[in-house]
Amino acid sequence: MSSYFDEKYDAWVGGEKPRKSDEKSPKQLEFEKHYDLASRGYMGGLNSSYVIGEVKGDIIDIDFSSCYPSALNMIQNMTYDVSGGIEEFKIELEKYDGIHLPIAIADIEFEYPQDCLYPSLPIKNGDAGLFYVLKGRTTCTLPEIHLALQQGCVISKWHEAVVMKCDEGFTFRGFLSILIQARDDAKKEGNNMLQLILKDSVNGMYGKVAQGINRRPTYIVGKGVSRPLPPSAVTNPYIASAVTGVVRAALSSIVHALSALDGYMVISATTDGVLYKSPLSGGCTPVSDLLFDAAVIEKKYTGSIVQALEGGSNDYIKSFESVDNVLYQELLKYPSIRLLQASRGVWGFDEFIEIKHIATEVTNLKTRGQVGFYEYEGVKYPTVLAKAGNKIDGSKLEQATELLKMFCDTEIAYNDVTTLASIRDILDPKKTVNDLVSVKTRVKVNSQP
Amino acid sequence: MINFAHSFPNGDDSVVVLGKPAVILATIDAEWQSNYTKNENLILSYQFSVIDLKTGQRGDDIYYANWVEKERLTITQILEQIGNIVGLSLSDLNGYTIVLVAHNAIAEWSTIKNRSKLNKYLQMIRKTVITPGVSPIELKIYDGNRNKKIVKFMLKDTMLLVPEAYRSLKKASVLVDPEFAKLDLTKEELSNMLKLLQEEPAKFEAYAIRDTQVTLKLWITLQCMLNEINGTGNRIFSTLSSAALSRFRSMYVQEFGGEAFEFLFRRKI
Repeated sequence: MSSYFDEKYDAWVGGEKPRKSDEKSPKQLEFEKHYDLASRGYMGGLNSSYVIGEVKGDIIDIDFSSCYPSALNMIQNMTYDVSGGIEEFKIELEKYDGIHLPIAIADIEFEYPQDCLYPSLPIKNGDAGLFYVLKGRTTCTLPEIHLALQQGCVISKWHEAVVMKCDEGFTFRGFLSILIQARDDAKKEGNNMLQLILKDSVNGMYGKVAQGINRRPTYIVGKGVSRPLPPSAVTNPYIASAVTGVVRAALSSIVHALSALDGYMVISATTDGVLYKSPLSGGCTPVSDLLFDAAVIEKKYTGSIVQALEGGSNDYIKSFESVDNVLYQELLKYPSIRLLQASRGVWGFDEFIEIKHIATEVTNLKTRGQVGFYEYEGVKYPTVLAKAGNKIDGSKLEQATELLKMFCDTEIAYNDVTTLASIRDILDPKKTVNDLVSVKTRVKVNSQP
Repeated sequence: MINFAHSFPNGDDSVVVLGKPAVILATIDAEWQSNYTKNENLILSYQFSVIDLKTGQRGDDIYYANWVEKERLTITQILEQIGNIVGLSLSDLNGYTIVLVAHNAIAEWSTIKNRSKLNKYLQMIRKTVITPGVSPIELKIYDGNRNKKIVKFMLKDTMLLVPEAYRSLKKASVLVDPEFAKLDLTKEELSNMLKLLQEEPAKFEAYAIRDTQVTLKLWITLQCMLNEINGTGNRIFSTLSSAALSRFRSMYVQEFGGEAFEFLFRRKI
């Protein structure tokens, strides 16, 4: 075996030029083309706000349980047999049913109908995240294109595509199953440290698969310069793009389903979850009966809903399936969502979407910036709190109040933030910082949409 | 290098079963007065908790820096302090491997007088620094008679091994042993450690030394736990994700074979 990719990685790290193309065999060139296509198809999560300002009603914050590990669990061993290109991709599109996760990426030009409110094909926008537009060109995964076609999108041009063949073996399943079982055991035994370590280990595995693909710079202490982070022992852009692609497709499926159902409103989507308003109570059924698990409240919160709301956990809320069965049943029509459900089923879990928070009013400030309260017996309890990157201290209520105040201010506001000097600052001869000292900076408050 | 299951039965750091390797586990922590000047800290003390796995000697100590003279310890002086705690001179450390552990190692690295000597060996991970991998680096040091000695050395950080939500030493230590957690100081005391040292030296010392004791206990517990999860026994893990990767690799190789792993993840033409 040649060490082509070692050299490529060395080139990334050391700044050496890759070998000239005329030194590569046709097979190398083909492999490099597909590898680059897979790398282009690797993108981050869907993070969007659809409504700005206050929303009142039955508001529910849901997310996919162990989302990235669930997608990773469905990856099968790649054989590196690549054939067919665009035609084979189209055949795979027809077959996509949410039972298998295809590793298939295509470079396409697309156009949604003009009345489509929630286009689902992402376009990379440098470090600024993803754009979701009605017309454009992108490199993305098969589950995303499958959903786009369901939404009436037309693929006007296929530039290139790759479909990776896989065998029957599941790459990560043995590893994930054992760790998830061990975590479950640790939970039952009350070994909190172990269960948290196992949780972070399971979640961290996906990061290792994606490490180095986006060439994010990291600081080299000995040299005093930044260089792209090298790949890990399991970096694989095919797997990384397939995992993130199916998660984005599943999340976009929820957004699409919400837009199609009467009385529902999507407020925001954040990587693996959605905040939405539902017509749950219909104005006649007490919401608390629908939402709260009486047995848990009795056992853990001495029968007090107030205690449960003040506790900050979500264990007193009933399952998503029972709280909003209309949406739950609708979601099961989407293959990417069924795929995540099937994956959780492999580990013996029935629940694959959970309710994280409930609220009777939410103010959506911007992407990753929401403040929500649940009103019970005339008192508002803070439940949803996403701070849009702002550093605010205090109790949950104090933080929620401060965030709302920032949002309501019409003038540009600034926060004095104290951080510790970075190693880069300490080693930089041009800077006067010599130690791990506190550095005060003035930052613009990040609450305007 | 260290057989954790053998050396610390059931992950208990208070029971040390001696092994063959010449390894010293040491934790380091430093106290300083912040914002002494705009850009520099005033080092007040260095404290250490040490176990010599070869002899079973263990102990804690605090070294008060001459803050009036802005004293800082060099890496050699730090190794000398560590050796002294377990009855070894610098010369005796020849051939030993010193595993130096801190909680947020960048803080302790920043207090070392000749820290630049270590820079070329360090890797930055999540805003802290460690020596990467499982192999120690070789440090050349000189004893009082200017004789060159080689000490094998690793710098590791407990912060990279604790779950995301438990990054602070206080939270992590409570999770490991609520009866032996980090001691509390008020916000005012923390922001004026020099005053605390001068007015309540016993309180200062108790607080300072407890940090290194807690870090040592935490590191041993975490390494034992990760070795048990991974079925390894003698690996030193630097981060949680590297531990997960190690476990994944061994399980994949067991299920599909080593060549399949190479084929899938180090695929070449």
